[in-house]
Amino acid sequence: MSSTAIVVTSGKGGVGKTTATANIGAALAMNGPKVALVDADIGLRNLDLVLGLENRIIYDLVNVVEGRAELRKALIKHKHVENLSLLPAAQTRDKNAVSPEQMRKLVSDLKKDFDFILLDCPAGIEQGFKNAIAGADKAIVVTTPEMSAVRDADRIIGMLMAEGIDSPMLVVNRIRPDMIKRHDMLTVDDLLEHLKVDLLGVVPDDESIIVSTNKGLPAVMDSKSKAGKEFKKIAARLMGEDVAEAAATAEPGDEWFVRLIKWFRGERG
Amino acid sequence: MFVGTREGLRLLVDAQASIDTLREAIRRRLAEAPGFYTGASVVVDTRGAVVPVQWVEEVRQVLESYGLRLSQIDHGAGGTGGADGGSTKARLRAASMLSAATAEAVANPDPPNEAAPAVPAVPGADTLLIKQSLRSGQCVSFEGNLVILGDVNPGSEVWADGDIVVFGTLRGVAHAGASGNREARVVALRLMPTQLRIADKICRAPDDDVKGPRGPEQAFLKDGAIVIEPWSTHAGTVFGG
Repeated sequence: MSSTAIVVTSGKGGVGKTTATANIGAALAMNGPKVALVDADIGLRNLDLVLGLENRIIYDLVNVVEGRAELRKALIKHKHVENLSLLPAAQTRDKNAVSPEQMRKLVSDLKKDFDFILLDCPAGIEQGFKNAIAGADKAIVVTTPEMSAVRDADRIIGMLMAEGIDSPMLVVNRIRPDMIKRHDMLTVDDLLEHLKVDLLGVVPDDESIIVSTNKGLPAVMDSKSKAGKEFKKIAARLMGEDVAEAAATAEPGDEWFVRLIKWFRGERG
Repeated sequence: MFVGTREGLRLLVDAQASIDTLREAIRRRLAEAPGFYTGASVVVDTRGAVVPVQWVEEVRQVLESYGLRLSQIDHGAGGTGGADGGSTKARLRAASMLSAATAEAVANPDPPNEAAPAVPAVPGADTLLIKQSLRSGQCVSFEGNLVILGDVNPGSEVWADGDIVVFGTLRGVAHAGASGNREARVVALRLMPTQLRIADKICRAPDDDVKGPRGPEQAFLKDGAIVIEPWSTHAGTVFGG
């Protein structure tokens, strides 16, 4: 199996990029592949915290690209998920500490040892974004059902396409079925209508995410977490499985749900 | 900046600084202790630089306006402790760098130029006093001892070749004895770091939630391992003991 580098991005901050990276990465690793998570959010790192690995950081991404630490030594193995490793960001530096060329080299080095490389992209469209997408083959765009997040996602998708990452996959985070029913929230169909990209998954708004984030344990490790279940499905889809079961939020017959099935069938057929 | 010596006050100045910068530095220093220096005679030490006569006159006027008397201009590479003038440097890095104005060498409360990235060296100054808390992303390193009057938050780092004292809560990363001094210690009112490093040894916080310390604690090397004990000034546990 050749390895794939996927950037997790959104444009807007606070939509759940880091949570998605941690959970999709952990879910992938729990299924067998070797997964490296790269925190590209230099200066505002969080991925280490969400994974509960903050106190294990010795070297970071900047140390590695500057040649002051070996990549192997900077990678931190997750304490519970065997195949999951983290390359933490530097906190005392900023986005300009690395260049897209250095990131490309870093990702190609990681590909020698890992099946999946997930890059946690910073918010924004500046240097940090350019660094994070530099080595990526594919992109996951995370958005929430809010107009502001959708606008930013649209901008990001355009920029990804301009960089040659042609078919970004959409993850809609923090869906609230009750609000959709009351017509108080954009539906997944509305989003797809606007963004015209492939849907990778829909994750419900779930309190267990806050709990798991604070504990430093990905929600996918909690079998009761609704969001965790959806992240597991997303991981399975990334591995090429036909997981078309309705999201917890779906009403049977929802149009986006049918489209999701069609998309996966289409890709496989 | 002023240094008290046996002969009286010695004013160390940066000959590159503008007279306005110098005037401001002197004014600020004297405003801190009004009247304390009045009548004192001052040796101006340019640390090796030869300065124009006009410049000397300006300095004299500034000093006199505060009741001080210029007694001598010292062009020698002088120093009070014989230490090399450039040996003690604080390096403050990070994107959100602390401004030089908030980092003060103990014997050196007034950098002549606030925009200077490095705290100017003072011969004999081996301790850097930081009068503020360090937030995530801020990093202070110093080739001597470091004293932080504030908290050290998670995501911030303090590095010192000597000891580190945090008069506050230490939650970030602290590295004492960074260039190999195994006698170095880390002391904090509340010692709950993400990671502690002394010389070449590293230890990290436990993964489980643990109760915070009840009182001040110190960390040091004992038989090659980092140990933490309640702070005590009993013989044998004090610095250098």
